[in-house]
Amino acid sequence: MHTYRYATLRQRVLVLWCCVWAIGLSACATAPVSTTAVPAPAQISVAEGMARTDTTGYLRADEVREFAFPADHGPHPEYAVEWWYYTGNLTDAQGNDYGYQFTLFRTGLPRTDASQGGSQWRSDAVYMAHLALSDGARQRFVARERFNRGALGLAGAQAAPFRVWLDDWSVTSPDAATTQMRIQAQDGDIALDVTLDATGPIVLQGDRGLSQKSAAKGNASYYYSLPRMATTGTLRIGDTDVAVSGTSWMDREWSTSALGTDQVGWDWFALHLDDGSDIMLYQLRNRDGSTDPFSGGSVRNRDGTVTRLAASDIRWAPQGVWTSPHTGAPYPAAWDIELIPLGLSLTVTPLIADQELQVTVRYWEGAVRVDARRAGSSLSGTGYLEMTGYADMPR
Amino acid sequence: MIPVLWKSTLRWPLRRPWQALLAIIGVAMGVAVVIAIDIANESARRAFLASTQAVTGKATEQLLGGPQGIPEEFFVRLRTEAGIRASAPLIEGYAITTQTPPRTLTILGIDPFSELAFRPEMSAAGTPIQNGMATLLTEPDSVLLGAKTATALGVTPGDRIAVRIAGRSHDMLVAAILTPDGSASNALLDDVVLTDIGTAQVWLQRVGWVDRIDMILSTDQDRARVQAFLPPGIRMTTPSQRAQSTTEMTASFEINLNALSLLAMVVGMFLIYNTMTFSVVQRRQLLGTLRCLGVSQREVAGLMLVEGSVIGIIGTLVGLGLGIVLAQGLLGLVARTINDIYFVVNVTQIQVGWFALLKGTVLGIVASFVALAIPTLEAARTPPRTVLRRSSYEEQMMRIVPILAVVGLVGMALGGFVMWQGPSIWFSYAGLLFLTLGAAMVTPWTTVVLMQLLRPVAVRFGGLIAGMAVRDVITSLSRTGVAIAALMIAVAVTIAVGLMVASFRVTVVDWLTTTIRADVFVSAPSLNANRLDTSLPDGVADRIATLPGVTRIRRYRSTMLPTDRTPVLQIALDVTPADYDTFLWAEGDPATIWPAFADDAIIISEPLALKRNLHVGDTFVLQTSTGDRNVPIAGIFYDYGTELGVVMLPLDRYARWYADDSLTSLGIYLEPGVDPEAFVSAVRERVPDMALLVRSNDSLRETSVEVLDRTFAITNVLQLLATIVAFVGILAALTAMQLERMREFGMLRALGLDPRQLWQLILTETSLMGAVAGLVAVPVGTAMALALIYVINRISFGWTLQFAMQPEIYLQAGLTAIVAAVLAGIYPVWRIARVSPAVALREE
Amino acid sequence: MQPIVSLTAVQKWYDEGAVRRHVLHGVDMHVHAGERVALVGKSGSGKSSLLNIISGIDGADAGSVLVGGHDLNGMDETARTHFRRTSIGFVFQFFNLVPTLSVLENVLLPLELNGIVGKPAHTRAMALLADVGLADRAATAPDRLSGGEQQRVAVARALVHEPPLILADEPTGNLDSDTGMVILQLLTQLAQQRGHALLMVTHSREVAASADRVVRIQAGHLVADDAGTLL
Repeated sequence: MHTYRYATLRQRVLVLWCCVWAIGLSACATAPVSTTAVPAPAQISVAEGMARTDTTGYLRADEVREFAFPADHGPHPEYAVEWWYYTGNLTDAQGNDYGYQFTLFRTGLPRTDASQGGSQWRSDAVYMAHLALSDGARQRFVARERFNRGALGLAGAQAAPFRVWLDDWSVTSPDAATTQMRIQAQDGDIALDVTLDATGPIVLQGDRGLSQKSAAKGNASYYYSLPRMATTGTLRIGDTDVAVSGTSWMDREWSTSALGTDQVGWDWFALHLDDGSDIMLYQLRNRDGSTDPFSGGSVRNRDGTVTRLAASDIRWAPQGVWTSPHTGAPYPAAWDIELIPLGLSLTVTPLIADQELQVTVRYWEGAVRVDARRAGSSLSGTGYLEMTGYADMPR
Repeated sequence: MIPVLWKSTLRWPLRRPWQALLAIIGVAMGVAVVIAIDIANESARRAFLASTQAVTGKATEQLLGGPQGIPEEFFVRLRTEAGIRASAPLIEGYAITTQTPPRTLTILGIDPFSELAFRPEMSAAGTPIQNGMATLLTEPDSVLLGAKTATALGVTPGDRIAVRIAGRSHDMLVAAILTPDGSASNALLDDVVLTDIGTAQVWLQRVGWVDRIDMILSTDQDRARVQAFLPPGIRMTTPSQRAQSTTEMTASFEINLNALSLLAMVVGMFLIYNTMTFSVVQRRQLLGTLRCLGVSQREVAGLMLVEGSVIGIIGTLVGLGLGIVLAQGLLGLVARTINDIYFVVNVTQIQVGWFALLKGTVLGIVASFVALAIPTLEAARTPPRTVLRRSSYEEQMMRIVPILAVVGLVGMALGGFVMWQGPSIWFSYAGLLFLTLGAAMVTPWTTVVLMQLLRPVAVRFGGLIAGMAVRDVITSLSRTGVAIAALMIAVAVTIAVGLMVASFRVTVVDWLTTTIRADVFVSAPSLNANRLDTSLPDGVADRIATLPGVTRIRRYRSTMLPTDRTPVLQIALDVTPADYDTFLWAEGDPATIWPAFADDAIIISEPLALKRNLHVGDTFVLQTSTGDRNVPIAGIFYDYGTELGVVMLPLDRYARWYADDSLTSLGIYLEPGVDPEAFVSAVRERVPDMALLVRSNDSLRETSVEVLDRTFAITNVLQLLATIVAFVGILAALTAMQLERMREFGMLRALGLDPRQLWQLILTETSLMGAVAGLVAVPVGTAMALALIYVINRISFGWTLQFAMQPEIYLQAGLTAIVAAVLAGIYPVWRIARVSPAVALREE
Repeated sequence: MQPIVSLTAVQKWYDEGAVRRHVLHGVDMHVHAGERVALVGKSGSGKSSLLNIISGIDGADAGSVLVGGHDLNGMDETARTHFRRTSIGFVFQFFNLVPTLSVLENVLLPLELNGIVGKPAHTRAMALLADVGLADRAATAPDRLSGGEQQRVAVARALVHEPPLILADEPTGNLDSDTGMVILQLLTQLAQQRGHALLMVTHSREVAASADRVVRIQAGHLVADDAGTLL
């Protein structure tokens, strides 16, 4: 779930680009003796990301608030960390499966009141963006990463009309009145240009949008989702644009505070079942291997009702091990999950085994297929799975 | 084992070490001057290119804008609309530390997010870079430094560096030290400070602008896409083109230095020629004996070549070492001139390139061989006789002298013609060389004529000894001729350079008087003494206008204007009828120039017109912010401010075309009776918060002349070096000549000549030679000066200079000649006079 | 036996403007191996011209010049130079040793010019220096020797490469008479021992007396060629 993700990210992004810079550079500097053209991105450990907990100058997500749209689609600079998270499962005319992930992160920079006036380049935020495309038929997975400062129009976010962007990667709405969003992102040989239309109301996660992360007050985020967005457009990995359509999931979250240091990673699921229900689940993993009690999830039923799930409502069973050829990290190869109150059993299988993002923070995030069984009947579905904290586990 | 035959000749220089030594010094000095100039030029160029590389990194293309640079919004559009991700904005500037001695630091304002692909050498492996980089973005005035620079400045992270940037004080905060791998990367960071582009904008008063945008474009398709995206006023170029057009700015300067250094080489060649000729003359009997014993002509020639080339090679090798030492000395002068006139280059260390050394070696050896040709031929033609009369040889010389004179005259005429008609600067220099060598060939004949005229007078007033001295000059013409010619050339060069510099000075002072009319000048401080392209703070003109005593303020905006060739200086200015007579016209009628200028035309400077063959009525392309414009040329004015060329246009039109209303300098006219110096103080009080350079008319003129003098410092040094080489030559020639006559002097002593009379005889002889050299040098030097002023300066810099006749230059040159000759006579006469007649007589 | 020097009707003249001045008017002369011949005559009689023609320094304008079997008339300058180095040994009035070479090296020089180097050359040169009594001065520079010693070296140098003809131009002219006699004896003895032809140009009675035959030249004509008649 995003809880953990943002907790690390808020310090991390800052550290991140510095490391991209530093380590990428050192890789370049040694390039003459290296045979690989692409330098290995840095590995940032969760613990490292957690190290800084300075939240001076920012508000904290410590109470339930009223959400207002479209204003809340825009940025919340008074909070340290924020993201716009899009994942989607798409198919082409031949029925081939595709997946995409497009994410924009905002991280506030430490504020210095003495900042000199004048220059527009002065910035209080850094933006990071990830674009990852999966091609199930050809078993290809490509991921790219970008950074820029949230200044001058190079990267930023605005509410009305909705726009969040980094360089020429962007999500935009044609006008303030609509919830339609268009993602446009291309980088060399990959491109994504899809239009998303919400098919249901916004789901406020946690307690009316306040998603508690740990026991301490303020260790929470504001979190809402548009779990099912009808998606059409084109996607390209390589030479030709492919017309695709399918379903996307948008997550929005902003926060300031950090998590405790005993948590080492998480597994997050966003699943669309073909009975029209949408399931979000997350497991926070503690250092000792246990599931953190602040894990949980929700199910939005077809009729729009939402069922919240506590940690004790979910049984997690990772199946098999896939070892990353890039990092050597062992990831669960598939998952069996039981949602006890709903009597629902899920088997989640990756569309492609290797959907590990080779970016600054190594994590696995990719398109999955779902087989569900409920009261003797079987269902299927698609979705996205994120697994973090495997590549930087102390070994 | 060295064959006996070779020993017979190779031991010859060992028997006369002073002679060989002086020849070696001659070659060495010639080679040294040539390679020193080469290395100094090359070091300055390399330093410039290295600093360019530091700021261009791996960029394949660059975008450049108008005088202000590129609006920063364009970069945003390039990223968000055109999607050119491999693009990095940059602002470049200079900071001067307040420590003593001050250091000039290059400020690179970068966008860290864009940099990765461009400047990998600015890596930070092994340093706590994360904190440093974060600080760079968040902490005002923070910078990153290379380890070497940090050590030189004595700073560690967290320290502050007090600097002045664009005339204002700032404290740079050292965020982190970069320790890149590899010495090449380290060198790129020498005296460079990296800072966030936002900080650089504030420091350099460039808010809203970037200097340029670097890009890495891999396909023509990408290039076409960017090209199509560019608005008017933004151009795409490549870093190499840009660096090249900048380094090309100094081409004329370098060529002229090279030519001057070659002059030293020519004088050096004379020395080898001189030494080897002596060497041949001295051993004619030995050579005759060898020929009798069956040594062939070819073998004799071989022997001479071996001997000469040993001297040439040793001299060259010594010259290489000497040249490297000399280069370090010249580097400062070269760099200062480049900084004064062309562009900022920060260079303190010479870089010895293999090419310069190779060139010096080849030149030294080739020059040695060329100089050896005639003596070698001479030696080979020695008949197989054991009794060879020198008088017959001298008689032969006397027969040759008129022929030589005719050849020399033809050479001079040819030189003049080539210079006049030659298509390029190298032809002009070749013409000058012909002129010089021709004059040298005429010198022996002139000597004979002068001595013959002088002899009766000398006998009458100076007695028999004076008469002997005069006659000796002629009878040993085979030796004296070369020495006099060499001295003549050195003196002529002194005269020529002296006259040229004097002419330049007079012309420029006149020009400054005409053009610098305002009483007080205000400009922004700049690193470059001669260029005023730093903008004034806003509102300065208005604030000064309110001061009492001001009648008028003339406004200027100077920028470097890129063209399809080297950049030119563009000056936008106010011109009112009162200013009309501040221009001197090389071409065009003021009656038509001014209306056209007010309408749509520009005026250009003479150097620009000459270099690009432009005339009134032609058009010139201005790359304005609103697109390229073909602008008619209304007039061509004399200008001695910069050889790069100047384009002038009215300030209001400039503001329209370039969308730029900033100013770089102000000329303030005062009411009669207002003391300019007092007004200067008043201005400083009026705008205490602004970093301004406020100068009165007098002090601006003084500064301008100072800069001018500085630029000639290197010319003077080179000329001095050539004179030293020549002096060594004279010393060698005269010493050899006199020592060779030991026996003759011994006889004279035996006949009763006392040492004092011997002194008299020899010094009369050498000073006569000096006098002849000085006398011949007057017309030759004047001709060379005319060539330098009217041909070479015009072709290489495009300046029309007034010829300034300065008698003291001639006087000085003549004196130099005689003093040099007399000094050169002292050692031999001292030695000869000490030797007893008996010993002298026994000398072979 | 073929003579070493065989001159037939040799003429030499100089053109001075329109006037042709004859120096030699058809000289016939023969010198055989082992023979010692003195050439005497006044200054300007043509002695030097004759010597120059025989040594190949100068060419004859008419007549035939055969020296050591070589026809000098048919030779160019290079060939004559080579002829000189193989066939002629010179002894000069003013010794004309190479000042930059040691005594031994002066003697080695003709050998080297004839392609004889190394040990054999050294042995031969030292043997000859021993013959002229200067073996102990081999490493000395010539200018440290007396005039007589220098001329001994010159004799050794002239003989060392065993040329068929030794030309001596006033060999005693620059020496006192006693020393001159010693040198003369040395020269004639060595030449005879080794079977070289020796042609000496001289004013000196003593020199002439030591010759097998005296040839007198007068105004470009050989006026006497006999063993008895002197000046």
